[in-house]
Amino acid sequence: MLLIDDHDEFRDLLRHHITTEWPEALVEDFDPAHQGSAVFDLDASQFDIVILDHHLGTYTGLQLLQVFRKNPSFPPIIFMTAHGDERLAAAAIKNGADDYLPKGKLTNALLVTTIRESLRASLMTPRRLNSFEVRGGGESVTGVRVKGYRILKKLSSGAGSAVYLAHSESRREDVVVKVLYGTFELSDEHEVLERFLIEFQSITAVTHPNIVTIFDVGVADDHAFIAMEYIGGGSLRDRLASEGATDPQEALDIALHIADALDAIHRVGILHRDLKPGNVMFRVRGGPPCIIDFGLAKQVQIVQEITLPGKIYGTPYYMSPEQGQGSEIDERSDFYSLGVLLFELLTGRKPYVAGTPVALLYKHSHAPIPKLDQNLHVYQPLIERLLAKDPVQRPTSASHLAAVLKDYKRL
Amino acid sequence: MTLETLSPVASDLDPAIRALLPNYIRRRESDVETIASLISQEDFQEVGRLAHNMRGSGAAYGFPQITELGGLIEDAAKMKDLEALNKLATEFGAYVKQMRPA
Repeated sequence: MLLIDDHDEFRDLLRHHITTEWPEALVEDFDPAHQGSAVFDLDASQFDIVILDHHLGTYTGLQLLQVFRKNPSFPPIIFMTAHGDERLAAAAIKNGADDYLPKGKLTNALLVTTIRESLRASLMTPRRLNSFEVRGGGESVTGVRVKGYRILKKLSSGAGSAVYLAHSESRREDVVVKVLYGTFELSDEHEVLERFLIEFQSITAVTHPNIVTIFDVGVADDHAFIAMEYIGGGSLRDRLASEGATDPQEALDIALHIADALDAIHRVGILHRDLKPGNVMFRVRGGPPCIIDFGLAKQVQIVQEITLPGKIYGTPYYMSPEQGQGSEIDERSDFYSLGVLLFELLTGRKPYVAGTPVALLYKHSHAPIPKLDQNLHVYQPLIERLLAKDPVQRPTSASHLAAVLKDYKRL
Repeated sequence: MTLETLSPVASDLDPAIRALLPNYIRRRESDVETIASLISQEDFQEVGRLAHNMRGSGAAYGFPQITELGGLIEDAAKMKDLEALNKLATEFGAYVKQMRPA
């Protein structure tokens, strides 16, 4: 699902309601205040639903609605209005919204019912027969077919990829299948795909409690796929959204587990490249973290985003200076991302925010490292070390990083 | 608007958001200091941004008064009305002190 709203805490609330009802659902944000007008070029055809606010700063939800509805494959749109603004609600429906919700009267039950009804109605119209199409006879319910797997439902989608809950016929259990779409005909894409296969074959050999278990990797004419363990305890992103800052000892524990996981993948020559709270999952609530979605999948997406017009680029909150500059990266780039994540765990906020991705990358490279509040000042040297602009100043290896984190746990 | 008309207790509370409220209230407590500081620096844009978020989220978290105060503060920030901002910031601080989940 995609949330388009410029109120951080309202997006947090929507995500909370959605993941309370559908724990496996992945929810993506678009914040007009930080991401500007790129949303006008959005191809949201792979989202199952879009929730759209009206007051978005320099443009309105109604303006967006008119643009979105020119695309016949655009998913159902639920329009958010101020409570009691019936005229706006009527205008939204007239302009193609599938339903509307009053923001001030939002409840879990109302939101869930509205989403369900919008999805159900969308199945009855020809404009949307995508992820909820039932083809019957034990075939895919999504239209996607991956040999050896029965696709059960779509969990999320992004540029050039989608994630499904599926049943593995060989393992006889439910797994997660990530499908990367593309013809892989361009030479750049082909090269990335080869590296993707090699690296994921390496990862399948890694068994570690803090790394998602990869069962299978494969390629067909128009897609590649990764089958992996289903993890149902929610993500660190959800947890940060609902609980905010974490107790420092717990924050260090989480960072230590992630450092151990990085040590395991770095030892087989793989960098994560996309470490962020959304890629840290929990098998059980309150249990140890588990990292998912290694960077090669991200690289495939990046190639596709560059080659396909009309896609929104992710905002690089967790990207190291060298990665943001397109320079060669090594293990220390992952340590920087972990530093950003640790900062967010300790404070409940990101160290750098900016109005555009380019401005954010500039801050990673040039802005002073933010100071922690007084009650957290003992961790400032650790943050300074992990967020150092120059990789030379960061820990030299994941095992070194783990040792540093253990020292701080003893404080 | 007077404080007497503002209930500090989350109203029409949706049980599904109960877990979010302590954090929401903590953020408002933090906003009180931040807004006072920003007003003293006459950083109207940042005051407006914080108030805009309050306006958009308050009612949905069970605090319609935060939505109302957020709207008033946002409007005053747009007008760069320091006198109104100082008065509203005081009202906001007093209200936040009494906020509780239920």
